[in-house]
Amino acid sequence: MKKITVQLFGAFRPLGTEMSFDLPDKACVDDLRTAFISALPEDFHDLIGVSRFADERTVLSENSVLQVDSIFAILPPVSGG
Amino acid sequence: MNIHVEVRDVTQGKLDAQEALNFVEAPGHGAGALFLGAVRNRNQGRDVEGVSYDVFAPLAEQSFGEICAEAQDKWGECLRLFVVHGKGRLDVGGLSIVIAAGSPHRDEAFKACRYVIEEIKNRSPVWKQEHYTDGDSEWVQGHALCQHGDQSHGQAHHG
Repeated sequence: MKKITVQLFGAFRPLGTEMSFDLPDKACVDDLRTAFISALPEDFHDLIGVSRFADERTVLSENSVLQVDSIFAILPPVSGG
Repeated sequence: MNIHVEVRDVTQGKLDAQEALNFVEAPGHGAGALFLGAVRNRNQGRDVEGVSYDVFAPLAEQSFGEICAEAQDKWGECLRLFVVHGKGRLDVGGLSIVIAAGSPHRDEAFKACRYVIEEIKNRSPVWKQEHYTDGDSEWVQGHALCQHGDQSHGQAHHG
């Protein structure tokens, strides 16, 4: 198992600044999304569905394997500028 | 280096248009274009008194750099570009983003400046929480990112 910590932004902020999950060693982004859906109330499920996961350098594809030493974030729809 | 990108905590210092224009100046540049984004007092029929900007700073700065590099690919390597996006709470009128483009001629500067702001709005990990005069606050609905962060879909509801 590996511990994955994900920073929260935007509409996820009411939940805090980050969430952590214990996931299998070969877990990928899709597994992390499933873990979020399991952990959060149904009110957040649609938002999770339209959000993406990223590390500090790029938005990750669903089959990207999660590296333990990376900093992850969940990105709801963006509204910068 | 002819690109400057930054996420700046607005509680540490205001964004500065002159700083941007100074950066994009060069002896061979006859044109400079400037875009300023500011908090407006009304959105979607509601009176706004301020906006809080939330930013995933490392990825935001990465995306700003990629967008600026794309602009240079399109309009020339000599293009100088400056992007600073604010993080934190701003009152109405406060500057949230400053973008400047400097180039030999005006066409490239205008086009590059427009390209950079439009791409940032679609692709960069920044979120707005509007604070209304009635005491309520809401996160602004935005653009869903694609997996690779280079396109978007969905609707923006805030300019």
